[in-house]
Parts: sequence; C-alpha cells; structure tokens
Amino acid sequence: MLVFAAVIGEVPQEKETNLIDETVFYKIAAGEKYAFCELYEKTGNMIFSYALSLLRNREDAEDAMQETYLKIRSAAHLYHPMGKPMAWIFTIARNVCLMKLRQQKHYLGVSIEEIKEDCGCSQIKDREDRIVLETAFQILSKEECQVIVLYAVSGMKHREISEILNLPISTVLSRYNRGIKKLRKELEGRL
Amino acid sequence: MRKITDFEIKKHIKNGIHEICPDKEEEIWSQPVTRASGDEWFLDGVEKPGRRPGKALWMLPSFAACAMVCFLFLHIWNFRTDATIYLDVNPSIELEINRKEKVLSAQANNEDGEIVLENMNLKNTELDVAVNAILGSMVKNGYLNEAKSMILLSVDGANQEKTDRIREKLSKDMNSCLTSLLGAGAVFHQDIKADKEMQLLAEEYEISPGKAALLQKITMDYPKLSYDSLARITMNQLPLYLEKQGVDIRDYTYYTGTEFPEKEEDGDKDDLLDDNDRKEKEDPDEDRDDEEEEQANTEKETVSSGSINKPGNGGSSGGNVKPETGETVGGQDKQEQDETSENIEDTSEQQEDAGEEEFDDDAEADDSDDESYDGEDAGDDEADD
Repeated sequence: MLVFAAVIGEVPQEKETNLIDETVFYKIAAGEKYAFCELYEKTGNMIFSYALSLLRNREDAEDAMQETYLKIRSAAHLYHPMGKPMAWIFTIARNVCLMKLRQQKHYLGVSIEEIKEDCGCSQIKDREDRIVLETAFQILSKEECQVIVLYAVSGMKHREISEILNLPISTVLSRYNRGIKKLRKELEGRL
Repeated sequence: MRKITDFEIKKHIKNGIHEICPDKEEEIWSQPVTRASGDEWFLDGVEKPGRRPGKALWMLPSFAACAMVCFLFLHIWNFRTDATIYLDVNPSIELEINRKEKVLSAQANNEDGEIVLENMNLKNTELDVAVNAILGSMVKNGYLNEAKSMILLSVDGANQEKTDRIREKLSKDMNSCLTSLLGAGAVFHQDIKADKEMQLLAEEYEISPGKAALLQKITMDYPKLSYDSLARITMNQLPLYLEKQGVDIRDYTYYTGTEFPEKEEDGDKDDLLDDNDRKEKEDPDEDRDDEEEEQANTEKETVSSGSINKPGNGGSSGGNVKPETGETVGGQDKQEQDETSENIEDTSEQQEDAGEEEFDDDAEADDSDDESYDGEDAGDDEADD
C-alpha cells in the first residue's frame, strides 16, 4: 500500500528548457551587472512581446518591461531554485501589466477595451514583418496573441508556455491553433 | 495572393518583435532599487519552495482508498467462515471458525445444546479452547460422565487438507480432555459436506448436520434401520445399538479413544428398538450358534440389500469404502481400529474360526466381538427358555 501510494504520490515535475541559468539571480542580487545584462538579452524579447500582447500599446509595454526588470533586481535575492526561472519572471511581468491596466482604467476612467491600441508596428522596416505583426495584434484576441507571440519569440514548447502562463496545456494548444488559423487565413489576403 | 506557412508567420513575428523591442538594460541597471521583503504585490502567485498543498491533499484520497481496500480485505478474510465444527453427544452444538481457527459463532441445535452454551461467550476464542470449554460444560451439566464419554465430531470445510488437519488435531485434543476429566474418552470423528438436504434433516431431528450425515450413510447401507429411531439415540448409546444390529460405527467414522466403550448394563435398550427390530430379536434364528447366526444375518442382508458384501467392505483389502463417495473411511484408521480391538478384547482375538474364511477381515473382527456378546445373549435366551 505504501509503495502504491508512493508511486502515485510522486509526480515528477518537468523543468523548463535551459534558457537561463538559475544562478543568474544570485549574481544579480550580488550586484553583478553582466549577469543582469545576460538575463535581459535572453529574456527581453519575450517579456516585451508578452507585455505588448497584454497592453496592446508599445509605450505601455516598454514601461511594463522596464518595471518588470526593476522588480526582478529588487527580488532576485528571494528567488528559490525550483527549475522554473522563466515562470518566476513571467509571474512578475503579469502582475506588473495587470497593475498597469488597473491604473489606466482608474485614472482614465475608460474600459480596458477602449485604451488606444498602438503596438508601434509602423516602425518595423520589413514589410512582411510589419504586416504579420500588425495583423496578429488586430485580429487575434489577447489570449491568442499571448500564446502565438510567446511561441514565436521564445522558442519554448507549448508545455512550458502553459506553465509560465499558468494555463492548462489544452488551453494553450487550442488558443495557438485557433489563432494561427486566423492569421493564416487573414494573411493570405494581405501578403 | 500567396499562401503563408506557420513557420513563416512565426519568423515574421519574431523579427518584428526583435525590431521594436527596446534596449534599456543600461538604463534599468542604473536605477536604484529597494530590496524586496517577499510580500510585495508583484510577487503574488510566485511559487514558493516546499510541497504544494494540493499535492498532499491529492494523495490523501489515494491513501484513504488504499486503506479502505486493505481494511475490507482483512475484514472479509477474518470474518469469513472457513470451516464449521459440529459436536453431538445429545447436546448438539456447532461452531463456525475463521481461517485463523478462531470461533466466529457458536450455536446450539437443540435445547440441551443451549443449556451447555448458557453464559458462554466463545466468540474470537481459539477453537481448541472453545471445544474444551464446551466439553467441560457438558460434564458439568451431566451429559458426559465416566460411563458416558462418547462424542461425535464432524468437520465441514472447503479445503480438504485443512479439514483433515483440524479433525485429527481436535479429536486428539478432545480425547485428552475427556480422559483428564472422566478417565476415558471416545471420539468418533468425520469429514462432511453439509448440503441443504442435510441441514433440513438436522433441523427436523434437532441434531447437527454431522450426525444427520452419519445416520444417512448408515441407513442407506442398512435400510432396515429406522432413521427416526437412530436420530433419537444419543451418541453414548448409538455405537452399541448399531453393534447389536451388526453395524460397526467405525465403518463410517474415524475413532480416537482410550478404549472402546463398554456395553451399557441398561435394560432400556429394548425401548430404543422399533417394532421391526424387536421382531427380529425374537426370531428363533438367534438360538443358533455363532456361525449360523452370522450366516443368517448375512443372508438377510443379501435379501434386503441385494448385495453380498456390505458397501463398507467393497472388496478392498484396506479399509471400508464410504458408500456415497467411494472414499475409504476407517481404512486409514484400520490399524488404529485393530489396535483398539487388541487392547480391549485380547481373549476374543484368539478365537478366530478357520471355517469363516468366506468372510472378510472386518467380518472376522465383528465375529470376535459378537462372540463375547452373543455368549451373554445365549445365556439370556436360556434363562428365558
């Protein structure tokens, strides 16, 4: 009975793809700049795209991204190695973005949907890159946009994305498939 | 209009994000930060080290289910009847035991049995302890004494090997107990399979299925014997009564005892006979000598049963064959029977008649027993005359 319970009790936790080394947080906490720069270089695109998909505004996404890294610096000493550094970073990024949305709603007195969407795609030089990104932000829902953009930018697997976003993997897969179909269909007419 | 692949879509998104993503690491690093304490709002939902509470809770139902299954299994195993023990003197008692040979229930099949079991709580008692207690109560209540120390033990179990082991051990324990209490013991023991018909018979006559099975076997071989009469006879009287009818009870049961019980000096024996038996006793053929009497009885049996040999003596040189199953009973104890006869009747063994070669060994043993008995009858008959 004990063996049976032990077998069913211990479910192995899968670790993230080794994008970053967990020890980087100790180094950042110790004041090592190069460690922070290494972290920024590896995760910047992901955090920015995630913030952009949530906030749908480039300036707000940049502010959120900046604030996220400041929070990472202030809490780096609290990080406990559990094999999920990206999940820790994205949790902070989500909280920062949500706080920003609440503040905008509170200060501007408008609903989240009414906040001006300007993803800053006009500054993208490559035409197809610009069209695809613009289309993604225009036709996809925020949920679908998060998954597709993260998947495209980070190179992570759907399972890892589901852990970062704290969503069931089935939800992640269905949002991705639904979103990519929409994009495919829409882009056939635009490109 | 061209078709675009998923790979191309992902590539375009990645390139576009890379182009508009700000490069502010220097600016961010240059800003002062306050060391967080851990309770800040931006750390909400961050996984903390140690077991997740959900994991422990998830294991709890699994443990509970395993515990329930184990408990039920042990409960059913320990409370399932593994064998039933039947004791018949005149009180008739049955004990149900589990696989550990502990008593699950004890019940009386007649009023005398209830008297014996009165104020006794035998549940969860070891079998041998329970049986000893029952024998002690029978002695105390007068059902067993120095002159009446015969008992029938029947064991009904699914596993034959275990049933035999229980029967043999219990018979020896009971004999020892009777010997220590009364100075002598006589335990007739058998294996049975108590089917529905047996149980109905037992209920009707207020005896145990063990005794019911024994009587059924005897009356099947000897139809002239009345089942009703036999059922009313106590175990102390039954062997002697059967012996007078030319039936050795040890042909149908095993026997463990210090000595074969002596004939009771009791004139009420005739009351146990039904009309047919009484008529037979008065038959002038009983005036013949031993050989002729035995031969006459054999002829009568031939006429009544249509066979030459007793079913119990079915040609085997070993023991006697059970009429129902063809199994040998007493055969295993043949040596035991012989030893018992030797101990009890040394003189009669020396009187084997050469002219009786036509009879098998069992008939010879009966003959030697009958000789001493018939001698007394002959004396009685002469007195009657």
